[in-house]
Amino acid sequence: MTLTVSVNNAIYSPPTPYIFSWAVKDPSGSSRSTTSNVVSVTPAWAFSVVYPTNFSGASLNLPGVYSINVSETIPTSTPNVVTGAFTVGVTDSGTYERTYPVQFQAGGYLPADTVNITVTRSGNPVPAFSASRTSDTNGLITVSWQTLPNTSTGNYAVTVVGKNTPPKSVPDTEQFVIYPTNITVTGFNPVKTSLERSETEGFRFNATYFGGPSVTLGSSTIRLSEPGGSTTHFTTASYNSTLGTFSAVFIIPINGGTGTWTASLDPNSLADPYGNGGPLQSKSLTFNVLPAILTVSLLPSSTVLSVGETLTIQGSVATPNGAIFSQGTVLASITISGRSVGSPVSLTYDPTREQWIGNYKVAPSDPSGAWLVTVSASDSYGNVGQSSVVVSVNVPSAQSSTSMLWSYLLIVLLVAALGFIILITRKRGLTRREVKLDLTAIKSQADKVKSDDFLQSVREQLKRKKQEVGLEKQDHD
Amino acid sequence: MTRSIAVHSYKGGTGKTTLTANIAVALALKGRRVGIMDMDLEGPGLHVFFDVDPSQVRFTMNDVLAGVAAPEAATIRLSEKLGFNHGEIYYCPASTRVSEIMRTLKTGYEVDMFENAVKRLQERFGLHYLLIDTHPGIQHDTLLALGVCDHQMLVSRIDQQDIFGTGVMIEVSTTFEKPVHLVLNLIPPRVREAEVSKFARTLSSHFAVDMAGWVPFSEEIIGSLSRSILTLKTPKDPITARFRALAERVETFA
Repeated sequence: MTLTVSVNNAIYSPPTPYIFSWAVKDPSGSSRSTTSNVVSVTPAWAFSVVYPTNFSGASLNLPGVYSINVSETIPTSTPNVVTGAFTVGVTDSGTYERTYPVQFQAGGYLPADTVNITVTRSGNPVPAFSASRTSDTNGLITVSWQTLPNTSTGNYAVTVVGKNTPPKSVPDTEQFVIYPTNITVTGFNPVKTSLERSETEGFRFNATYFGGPSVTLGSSTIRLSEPGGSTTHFTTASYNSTLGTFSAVFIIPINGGTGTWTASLDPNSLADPYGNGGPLQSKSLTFNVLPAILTVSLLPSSTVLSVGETLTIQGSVATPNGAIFSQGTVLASITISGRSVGSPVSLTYDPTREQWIGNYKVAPSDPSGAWLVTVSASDSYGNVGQSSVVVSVNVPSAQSSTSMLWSYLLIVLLVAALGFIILITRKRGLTRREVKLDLTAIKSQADKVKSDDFLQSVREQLKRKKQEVGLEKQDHD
Repeated sequence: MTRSIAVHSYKGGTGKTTLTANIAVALALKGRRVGIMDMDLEGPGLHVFFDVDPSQVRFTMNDVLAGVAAPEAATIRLSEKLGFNHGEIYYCPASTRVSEIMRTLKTGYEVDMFENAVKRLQERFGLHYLLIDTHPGIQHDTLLALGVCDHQMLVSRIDQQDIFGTGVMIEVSTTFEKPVHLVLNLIPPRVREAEVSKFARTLSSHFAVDMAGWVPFSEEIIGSLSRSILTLKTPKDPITARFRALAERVETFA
């Protein structure tokens, strides 16, 4: 411990000798002294001593406050020109956060003595910490207690006692406090940097306590702001043991704003079950949301039509996540060689068949040939999609269909039908494909749990209780 | 006769607490006297749904299990607060104080203590149903709750891990010889009703359990941040209808 005094307005011309006396009183009341000799050659200077090195018989073995008193003896006798104090403790800090190491150090013990370090909380010993150390050749012991994320918070006391060392005039005991710790969040990233409305965005981040242990329990609320910031959503992140990170998902609403979204982990939005929280400062990320491109899958009900017959235009419309699009506008326009046929047909949604359906009656004035039916789906939020199909129409005045046209038509329809079947199969098989039941593994895992002693104990207790109730009933009867 | 139902899930985040709160309210709205006990001692959450300020709670289930308070002393009657004309909700909160949570987890509790609390609540308040919201996973306190209750309602998402764990839970639950009812929750919007129905039948058949029902994912519930009960807030919402259907199903539990 270096003690320094700064002097101003000193006499320095001619060079003048100064002598100061130091007195340091330890927590037991014992005082140790030394002197400093300085020749003043400038108006301002400083001088120092080292405690306990420069003080005969001094030590730092007692915990508590050490008071310092400096007096000037030469050139003038001025007592108490400066005073001060420093404190010696058993711990390296009076307060700690969980997961931080608590360092204990004490001196003044007999060399190679057995020294017990006891930590108590509310008067009860802390089972997680119990230490006995042999003091070194200088009578010093140093111990570290690594606190955990779930170490109880509150006031603690540490007491250090040597087995053979005579009791100290001031015992080595000290209070300290443990508070919940802060959780650090790193690697807060989106799974997709750009996605369409209705698609699912994922978020991942790592959470660690001080010193590096991962946080694997608890949850965090992620705040999502749409472009402009006026609309906010929330989703919850929890620890995913498979990924080894915290993760969350959020389905972008079909009417969500397009542009840059911001996801934020607000301060203390992450909490573990023990009351630790984080992050200290907000963490944010951005991702881009685009309008949904609707998938239009058409299935013409009739392949070849004549005048007076009805062309039924039907198909399903789906959002990017595969959900049925049932609210919006779906229009079909018919063209042949770039020329419009009739007016656009408005399709209506049939919830039973989960299809959009519209009809067009072939008129005598309509041209024969391969009609290109283009169906466009849209909603008021700007999500759009389009698909086309070719149908052959045979009007009497122009009955010149060729075998090539038939072949072409057949191929187009087969491709359309095949595509539609694949789409339906894919959607309907979703759950079966994603979730598999491994009954053997389930049974094996369950057997392990069933053989657990505690489970057996609960079973036995319940069984015994049931029997007792039965006996009581019999007695009563 | 009171029926006690442990509402449980293998994983967290299955909407177990949301279901518990909404089914309890749906039953109470039918005029039933419903007890609702927060046994998720590590992460209690029911107080948020019922807007109960933890600092205003005198005793909790932690005190009951530690033997320092009678069960009725740790019970809050919510019927007036929720605006019920008939039907009752009696709520037993768990402590949200970390020190008390740690104390309970550290010391544990006995089968007798919990069983007596269940019985006493049933008798004291003449309950038709006692719903017990448990801590997810397979832990000691969970096994106690499952063993003591008359029925077990397991909540699962359609998720590989969740279904696997739910399967394990069902197998373990059979140890107690209590009826097990399965609820599929948070069904993704893209999965069709018919598909869920088929999957539910498969699960029910494989595990030989009662499929009590399923509830689709709801933006409204997620958006409410667990601060409101949909069954009360929006009675005409389709999800509310699902909760009511589950309550009807609970009424058929023998």
